[in-house]
Amino acid sequence: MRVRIQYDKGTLLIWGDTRVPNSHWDARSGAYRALALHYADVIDYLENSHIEYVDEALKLLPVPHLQLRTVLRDYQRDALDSWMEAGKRGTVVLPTGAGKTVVAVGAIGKLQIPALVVVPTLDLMEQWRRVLATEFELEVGAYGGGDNVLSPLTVATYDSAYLRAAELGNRFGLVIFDEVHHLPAAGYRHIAEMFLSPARLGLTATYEREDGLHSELLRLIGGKVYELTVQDLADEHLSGYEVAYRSVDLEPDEAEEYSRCYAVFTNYLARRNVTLRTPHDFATFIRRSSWDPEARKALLARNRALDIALNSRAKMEVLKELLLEHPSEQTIIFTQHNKLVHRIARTFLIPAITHTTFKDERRQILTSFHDGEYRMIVTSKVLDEGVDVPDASQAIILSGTGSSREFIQRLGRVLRKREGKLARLTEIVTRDTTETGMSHRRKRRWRAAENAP
Amino acid sequence: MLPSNLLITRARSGKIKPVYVPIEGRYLELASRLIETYEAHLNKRKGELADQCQQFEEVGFDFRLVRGLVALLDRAATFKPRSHIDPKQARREVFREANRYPLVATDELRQKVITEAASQLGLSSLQLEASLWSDFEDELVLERFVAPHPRDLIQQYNLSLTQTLLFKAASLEFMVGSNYQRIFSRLKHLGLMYAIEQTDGAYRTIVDGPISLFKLTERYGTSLAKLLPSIVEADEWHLKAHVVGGERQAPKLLELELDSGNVRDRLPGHGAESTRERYDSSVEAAFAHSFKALKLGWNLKREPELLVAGRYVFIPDFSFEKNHLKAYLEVVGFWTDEYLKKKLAKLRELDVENLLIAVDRSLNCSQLEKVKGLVILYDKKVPVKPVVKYLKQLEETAIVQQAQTIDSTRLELTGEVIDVTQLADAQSVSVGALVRWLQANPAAHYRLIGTLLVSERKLDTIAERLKALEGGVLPAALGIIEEEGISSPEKVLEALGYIVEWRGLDPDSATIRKP
Repeated sequence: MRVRIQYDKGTLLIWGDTRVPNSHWDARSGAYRALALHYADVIDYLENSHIEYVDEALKLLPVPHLQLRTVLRDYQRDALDSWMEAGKRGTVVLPTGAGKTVVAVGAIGKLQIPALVVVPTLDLMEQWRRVLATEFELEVGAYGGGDNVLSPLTVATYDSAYLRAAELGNRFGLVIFDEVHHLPAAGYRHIAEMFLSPARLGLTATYEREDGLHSELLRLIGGKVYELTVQDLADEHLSGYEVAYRSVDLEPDEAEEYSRCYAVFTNYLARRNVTLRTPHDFATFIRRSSWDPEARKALLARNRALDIALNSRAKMEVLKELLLEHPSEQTIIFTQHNKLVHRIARTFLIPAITHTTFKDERRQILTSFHDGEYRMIVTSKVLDEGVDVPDASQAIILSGTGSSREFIQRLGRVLRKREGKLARLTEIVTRDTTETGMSHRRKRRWRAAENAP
Repeated sequence: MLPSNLLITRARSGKIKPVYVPIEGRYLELASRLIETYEAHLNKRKGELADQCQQFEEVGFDFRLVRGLVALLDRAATFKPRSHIDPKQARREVFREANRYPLVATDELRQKVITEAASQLGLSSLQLEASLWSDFEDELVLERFVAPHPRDLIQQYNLSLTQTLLFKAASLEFMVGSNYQRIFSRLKHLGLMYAIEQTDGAYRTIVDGPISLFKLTERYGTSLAKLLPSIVEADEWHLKAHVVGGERQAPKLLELELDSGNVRDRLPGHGAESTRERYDSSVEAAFAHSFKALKLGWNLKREPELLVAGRYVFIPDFSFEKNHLKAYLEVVGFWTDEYLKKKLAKLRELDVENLLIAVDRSLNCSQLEKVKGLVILYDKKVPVKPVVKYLKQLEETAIVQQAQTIDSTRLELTGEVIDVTQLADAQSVSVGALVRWLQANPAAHYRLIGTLLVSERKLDTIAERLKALEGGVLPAALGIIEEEGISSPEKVLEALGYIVEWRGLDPDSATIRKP
């Protein structure tokens, strides 16, 4: 009996009493079953063992010729070559603004097969749709934000790709994961497992995850095949930049409240002999706070203290000074919380973008920012990642987390190359609070690259 | 379903349970007070409402419970912006105006910008300020609220809590007493897979998904949670789930076990849905209607049970039941080839007695030959006649078979009037079979009248009394027979050789006489 391979909701069914590597007998179906991830290996195995088979799994839409119009820069071409050599698998690490998209477009042009691009946000979805539609002059499909359109070239959010993996997993020969550092999350990794696509490309500016889960990427899409840092490309391909630091003091009443709250928190830790060193320690503490009233009180006090430090009144004054000092720079103001975004928007009448901003208004604001109709945008985290924010030259970090990735991404927002441009990033940090430690931590990876030879 | 951070559970030695809110005392009070709070905030800001609700967290209730109830109430509420103008348009105008200055750094300048933008939009400054952020969450206004009953709110909360716990479930197994069709069609629709095990005559269905074979995955948790309402709708149910708990580096499987017997009132009204009959197609509905109209004494049931056919489960469309006899009818309507192939494969593997299959003639299905069971071809309507004929034959065969098993030594004939139904029960045969046997083997000193054995002495008494009856009026005659302890007097009249003479339709003027 000939072996027959079918795709079934994220898995392969192998009919014909032939066990292939990575498969298990499934009594429910009366066939061997394997994760779709192993498709390429299964086919290799059958070929190498000279076993006759019928492949009913792969269901590709017909593609027109995909004519590449963009000319790749030398490092983009190198990145693409490394990926091809690695067997059309693996991740390319390039700083924001270095044109990761172009590498992906190059890969699509080279392989001439249906491709899915998986992205973390709706903004990125829109952006990729535009890029692909312009590059190849065809309709681009989309899954996410209410769109459900399948085309040979399709863009989906991680959430939609996860939800629809079972039905879309056999429709693409190539999957591109933009901001691939999201992929190892417990849920999202199913996308890589349930798609059979033999060709897989990951893109990111920041490969490592603080929880170490990037090690999963090797299994899911292949390892790191090419990497360049901001510093490798600064001045030549990216804008030159400077990073500045402004510290402010809490006002007396703020300082008093801060100490009081912070003491509630540290007293709790001391009393219970709890140390919070790793993200894991912190997660345990959060869990405890859901049923232990003492822990909850400590958590609320800590949040309140942090709130005071991140949103100190003096920051608003310094922000005002900075904005007046450089009145002609296209500026993005970053904060940690939406509350502060709205306060700044209301006080200074600056357009705001948060995760609740509607798609059309967000697009309008970005377009107006691009056209110079608006000179400033205040935002929380939504613009951290990916979206091509049109040519900003100044970033002000009013508050943030201790994450290296967040810092590198925010810096990336102002690095688009323009003749004679010097980009500027300024952090405003409250002195003598935990925020100074956070500021230090968020810069450590950038600093390491800065000091590299 | 609730955000996972609002989940309240109790875990001990490998078991986990959602902490259900009892429908009593302070909890009922909390539900009522929250509902009242929503009602009192009609036409007020959402931010204000949220602040009010938060206060209940500070009076001794678990904040997760309060927020969970609020999340459910939000779903019964409609919040809308109150604005003089599209707030996006208002902002656009204001930001554009503000951009004419290096920075709107002072209150004076801010006021100037607002006034300028307001006049552009044809509004007053106050109207513009009121509209500017009116679509932000806190500024939305509660426009409509459909207040639930506090009891329903708590039941809904308990169900949502269970569903939220199931988000992290790797698999689920259940046993139910009804509602099969709905559960299995949900199951399929949700892309889940199942295996069935039979223990002590009950079917246990184990549900997970295709990739559960390879790894412990929570991927199907959401689907399992969506399956839950159809399970708890059944009149009786038992379920067990394996929930992934513990920490990410060291996940633990916890067991969740729930039984309708224990949580009956805590969850939304079950049974209500399942008692109503649902029809997939008008063909089935029409058949049920015509069959019931015949009143043949066969109990017709819709989607009565699970039949296991090899790897498949099969839920027949109808069952017919009468006197321990059972037959099934499956209606195969027009469908896709794939569906038909599967259905026939199932039917072929099905090893069940008395199966009738009605197939749409247009399907022209050659593979039917291999199917065990009587095939009825139909156009548009499933004919009742062949079904009735089949059932009658079935009954006849059973009568003949059972009549052979009757043990005359165990027939206890005592008393003047004996109900054959009771005798039949004692012999575990149908009434029809015993009547048939009694016709062939008449009981000494008794006469068989309908399903009654009446002693000859009793009949003589009745005959005497009827003879003495003046005028032979029918109601009086029937009265006499009933007085003698017989509930179906007309048949006795007939057995004694009387005929009824009707004058018009009025029984009072009818008389009896011997021909």
